[in-house]
Amino acid sequence: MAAHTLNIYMLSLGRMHCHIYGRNVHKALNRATYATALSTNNSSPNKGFPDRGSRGPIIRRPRREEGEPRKDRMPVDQDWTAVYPTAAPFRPGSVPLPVRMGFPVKRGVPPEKKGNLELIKIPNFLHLTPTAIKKHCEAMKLFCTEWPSALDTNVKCDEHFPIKIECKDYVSAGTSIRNPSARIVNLRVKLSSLNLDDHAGKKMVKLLGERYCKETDIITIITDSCPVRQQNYDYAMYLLTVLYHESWKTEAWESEKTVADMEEYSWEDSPSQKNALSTLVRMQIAGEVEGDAVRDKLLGRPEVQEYRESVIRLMNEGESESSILQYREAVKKLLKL
Amino acid sequence: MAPTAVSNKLKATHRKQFQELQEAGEKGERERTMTLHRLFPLRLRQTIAQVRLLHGSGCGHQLEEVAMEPELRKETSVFRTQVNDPACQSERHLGQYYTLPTSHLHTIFPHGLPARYQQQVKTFNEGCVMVRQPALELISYLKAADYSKPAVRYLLYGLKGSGKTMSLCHTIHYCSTQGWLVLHIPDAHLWVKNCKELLPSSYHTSRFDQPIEASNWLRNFRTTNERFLSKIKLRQRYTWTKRESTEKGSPLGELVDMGVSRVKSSSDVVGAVLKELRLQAAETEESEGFRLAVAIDGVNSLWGRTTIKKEDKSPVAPEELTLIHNLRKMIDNNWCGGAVIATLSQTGSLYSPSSAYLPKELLGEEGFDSMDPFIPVPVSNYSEKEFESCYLYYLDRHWLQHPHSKTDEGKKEIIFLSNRNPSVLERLCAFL
Repeated sequence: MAAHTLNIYMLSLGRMHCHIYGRNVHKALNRATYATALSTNNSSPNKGFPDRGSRGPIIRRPRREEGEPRKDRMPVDQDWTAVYPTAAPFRPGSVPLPVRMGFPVKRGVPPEKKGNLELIKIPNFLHLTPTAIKKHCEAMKLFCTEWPSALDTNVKCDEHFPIKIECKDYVSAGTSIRNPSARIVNLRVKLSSLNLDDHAGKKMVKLLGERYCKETDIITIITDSCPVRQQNYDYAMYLLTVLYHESWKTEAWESEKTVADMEEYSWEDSPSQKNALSTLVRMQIAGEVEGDAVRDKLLGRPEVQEYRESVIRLMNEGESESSILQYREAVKKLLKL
Repeated sequence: MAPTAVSNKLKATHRKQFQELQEAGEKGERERTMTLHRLFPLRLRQTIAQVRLLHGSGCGHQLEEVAMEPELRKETSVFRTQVNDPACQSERHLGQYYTLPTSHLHTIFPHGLPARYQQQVKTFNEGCVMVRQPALELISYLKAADYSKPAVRYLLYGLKGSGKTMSLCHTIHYCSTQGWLVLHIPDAHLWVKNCKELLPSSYHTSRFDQPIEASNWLRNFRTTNERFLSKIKLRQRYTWTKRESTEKGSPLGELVDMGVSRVKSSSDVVGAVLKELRLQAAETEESEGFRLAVAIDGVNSLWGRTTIKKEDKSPVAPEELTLIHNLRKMIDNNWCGGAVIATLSQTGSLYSPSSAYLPKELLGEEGFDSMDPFIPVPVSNYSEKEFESCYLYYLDRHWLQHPHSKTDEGKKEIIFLSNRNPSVLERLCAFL
């Protein structure tokens, strides 16, 4: 107890001293004051292994020396498909490339491939080199028939076979060969290849909604509601047939189509036409009788036609500096009559 | 040695001017060049320049430039013009500032100028407007138009802060100096939002009145068009209440005064005023007619949405407001003898994206159909020359205090930061 207190007193004295002499002194003093007495010398014969006491040492098979890695014994013209015949994880000894992967430490480089978990984690396609795929094709040729020689260009294919069906098959290593994603059927057809007139075409586009792409003019129908691929294919063909026939029919309520429903802007019977006509009429000398003849005569004038073009462009294409300038020129010509 | 030799060459009458030049020269070289250009006509300037070259003074490259390309120098460094009448301005004056006479400032623009510009006028003690291409174009159209035909609608559009309102004010100045009657609505957006008092209209049951805005506007209208108020006589009798009415044949001033004093019926007074002016503008000059200029800033608010709500919290459509309803009637081109000049404005507008500036975007379908056919006039950011002018003007007014802003590098920085947009430039220079 007394020694303890003496120790503490020495501590504090040491600390007081360190304030006078500096930090190094503190460290030295620290070591001196805090020295503990337990020694760690163990009497275990096995290096690094824990002490098993009376049970005796663990008997392990002696480790054999590892041979030369395969990459050092690879000739340049070897058959790569023999090295990676199937999908396999990355083996640093089998791949003769000096690949590095990983985050570099400060002022360092990415770690090398030996023992690199990052390279093992990622998927690799070393089993799918062009040579390997050629071999696959050669093997599959036994099960295929000849491509018809008449269909040598894409255009001819589109002409004779406008509908294109796409299905996916899935293979995976596992107990079951089934994959529910294999039931999805993707049907693509160009709208222009269908026999539709003006009204039918517009109605078809409205019915399709998002399934129609305006830029490429392709209808895409994707069906996945049935469990079997055959059923989905039948359903997709049925949808196409129904759409086609429905768009040819004209219902009674279609006559209520408003200006807001129109796909494109038409100048005839638009407020713009009325405005232009009324302005022109007012600008004429007040003696002229208003009637259909006058109206047609006014409409036939080149300025009015130019004005009509510019308004249609403005409405359909949207606004831009050039379209507004065109509109301006047209209006200037119209009003300076 | 050089100054005395030069003064010997010049006539004695120019001596006083030359002393001014010397004083200006003491202030700085740029001041000297500017005063040089202002005081001496071109021919004399060439003489002075050549004389100076002969005597080999230290002005160096600037005067050499003057001698060789006097035209170019004149355009880039002279930013003021003495031609203060908009009717006489032409392409020669593009990029130059002209001064608005103070009397005009108070009468023509009691409420028309943008707020920041009004502050600038107060600071600089003068109102200077730059002559720019859109305004000149509009004025040329107004000069060339035939006023027996229906009113032509012009629409100023452009990016935010590019100078639409200022171009409008320039055009209004022209119309005023030509003796037109100017109906200036400074910001139509103010009529569709933040309305403190909304009264149901007595004239039409489904409409709403805005007495405060209407009476404010009438007051400003009175200030602007004093001389017309006694000349124009009413064509119709207007009854306000059982006891009050304005007789046919009484002057317009009486109607306006009544509107200002009787705030409750001021919106209807505005409607009556607009109707009268529309009917009477059609007359020719001989029979005491006048030309009518309807200038509306922020015309896209007439067809947009409002933030005013009725008592049952349902929104009020613009056409249910008397003021807006009457204003829409003015925009129709079924009257002759004037012009409608409008500006699009996104800044005060409601429910429109801040990047919108093209006519159809801001006007909407309805607005476009109402204004159609109109002449759109684009207003863009400052060109190189206009920017130079503005920069020199600020330097002249000692607005740019920061020493770095006077260097070439500082100028390049200012161009980069503001992208030559007038309002951004103005705000930026306020900090310097």
